[in-house]
Amino acid sequence: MSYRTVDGAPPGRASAPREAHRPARGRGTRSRRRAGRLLGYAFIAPAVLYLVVFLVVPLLQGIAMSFTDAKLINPTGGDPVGVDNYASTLTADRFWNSLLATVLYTTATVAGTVVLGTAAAVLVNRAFRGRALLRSLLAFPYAMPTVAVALVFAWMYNQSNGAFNRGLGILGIGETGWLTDPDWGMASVVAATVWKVFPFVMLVVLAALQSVSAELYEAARIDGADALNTFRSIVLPHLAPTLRIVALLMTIWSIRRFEIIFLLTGGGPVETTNTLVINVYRTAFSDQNLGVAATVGALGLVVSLAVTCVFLLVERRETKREEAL
Amino acid sequence: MPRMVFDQVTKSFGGDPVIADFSAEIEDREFLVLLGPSGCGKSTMLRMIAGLADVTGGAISFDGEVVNDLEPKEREIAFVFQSYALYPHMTVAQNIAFPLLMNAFRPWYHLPVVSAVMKRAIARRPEVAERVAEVARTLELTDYLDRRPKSLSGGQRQRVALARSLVRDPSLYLLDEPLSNLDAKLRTQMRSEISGLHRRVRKSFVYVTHDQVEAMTMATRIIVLDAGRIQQIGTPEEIYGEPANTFVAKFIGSPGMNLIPATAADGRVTDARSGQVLDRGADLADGDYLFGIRPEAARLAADGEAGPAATVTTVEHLGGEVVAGCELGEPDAEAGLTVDLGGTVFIRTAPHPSLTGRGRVRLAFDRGAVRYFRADTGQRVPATRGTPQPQGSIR
Repeated sequence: MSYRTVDGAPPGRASAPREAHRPARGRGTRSRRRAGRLLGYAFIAPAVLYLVVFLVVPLLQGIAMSFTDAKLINPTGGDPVGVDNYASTLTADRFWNSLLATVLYTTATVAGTVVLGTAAAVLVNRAFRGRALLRSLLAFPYAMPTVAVALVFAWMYNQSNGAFNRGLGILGIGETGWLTDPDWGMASVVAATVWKVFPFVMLVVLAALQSVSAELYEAARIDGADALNTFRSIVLPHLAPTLRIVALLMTIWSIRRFEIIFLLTGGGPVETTNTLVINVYRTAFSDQNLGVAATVGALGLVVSLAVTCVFLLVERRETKREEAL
Repeated sequence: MPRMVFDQVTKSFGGDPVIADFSAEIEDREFLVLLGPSGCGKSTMLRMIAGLADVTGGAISFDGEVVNDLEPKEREIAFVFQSYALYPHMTVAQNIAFPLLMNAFRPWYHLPVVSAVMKRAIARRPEVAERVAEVARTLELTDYLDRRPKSLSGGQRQRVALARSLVRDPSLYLLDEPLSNLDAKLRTQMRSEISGLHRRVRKSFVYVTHDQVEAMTMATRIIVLDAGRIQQIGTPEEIYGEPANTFVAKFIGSPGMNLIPATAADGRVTDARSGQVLDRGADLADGDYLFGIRPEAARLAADGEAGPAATVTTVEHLGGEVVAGCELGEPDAEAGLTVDLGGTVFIRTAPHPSLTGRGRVRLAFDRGAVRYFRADTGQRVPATRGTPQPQGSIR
């Protein structure tokens, strides 16, 4: 079989001119490489442009705004105030309560979605009649618009006419202000969020579960492991990398989630669900104080980055530990 | 150490039978090999013995007790999977110790925190650590105890899988094509290691393979399966020397037994196509048969020796010997032979100058090794010239 060089010329014919015109050929190669690099930049330019216009510029503007006393009525007319906004925000209870609400909401949502999503994935990974239908039903909440979910839950949580209180009334239990009682506000918002978001975890974990070899389950059965031991000792370690990534995503999304909290409680009752994102909105559009809102936003960004860094460090450590064995 | 009895065992998937009327009795401490081509149902049979697959009909008994409905862990068995099925996140030591861990695990250990504490405590028990160390020593895995399976070679993984099955000291070892993922050299080594293990532990082994070399070298008894039905049960010698039918005759051996369509009349057996005499004095009723001869029982006729003429078509040099394909007959009308060539007969013999492409030769057969099969059913015709019947118990 005859073969050719990458240029398409037979080997003998290609090599002679290459030797004779090495300098010229070298210039050609360099110019081709430069053209290749430029082409690469051209390909990524739209994405870079998009990120700069919609992410970097607003981010820098926001950070710049956090050092001014800009108001909603004149967003660009704020005067520099140095670090006064940061000092006042960090010394006010509202910010720390807001941070606590964010931590509570995030922790509960991540724990709820990961546990419920994993349990649902394990359930629908088993073979039984009607499995496809159940999978579709369980995935349904994720497909619903957040606004619709929030409105439906708001109706169900309604103190006088809501489905929950009506159901409890049948059992003889008195009315509960799910969205108005400070003891229940956060739990109600978390429950609605978990219902809306757990199908995402279910689908990702289900994909990971399906990559567990059937022979591993059978080997565990032969070795005398019961269902719980099989899950803990064989399946869970297999799912661990997926669960870490899912937990990271859920954490980031929970920290910045706005619609469902805003539509259900608007940050109430008594600011128990006033997470950082809701706090930013309220400070900006209710208090009309853009400078302070930008400051809370910048501090929220720091929190978000810190959490992400912790997750990534854990992930890297686990990866290194895996590679070492 | 169970004596296994299979009583008309059947297995169907959605109405399609995969195993049909499987009946056999296997003595204790046998090394039984289930041998057959891919898709013949041998792995399904093994999974039914293990309790990993339900039995559709019939009964499997261990020492007289029907085990159809017993869980795998209640059957005192170990199972070595084709893919080894090692737990990837556990070290070799943890993999080997896992059956011991589960054996000592009690339901209340499932309580939160207790589970992790008790698992660690069980793993640290001296008897567990000693048993793991002992098994690792037996299978030369001591240096790899802290490694994960992914960092081991195929042969080492195979040994870990064997160690995991060995550690519980089960009554019955079930092995599902355990060597199929290894290269040829390692396979030879592991064959002898598994045979050695069988001799050492003195327990029953059931081994599934489609590789007849594995079956012939390791088995004390072989069950040949085809399309879910038992074709023959016997020792390797019986299966090779006295095949029950043409499937076994062709399937066992490389190349398999030569089966030449032949006609018997007055004790004279002639090649159905070339008309040449293959055998004389055969104790056969007149009719159509398949004349069976193993390649090593066929040879080139000596000078002046009578024998059917043949034309050499293929020659394979295997080092010390040659496998030559010869078409019976000779394309030469003047020599008085038909030009209608018969089927190819493979002979395994020492290298010879006449064994070249299109060389004309005469063949001679070891008459004691000739086997006859009915042309219509493919079943072997009862003994000719005193050859014994197979000893296997097809019931």
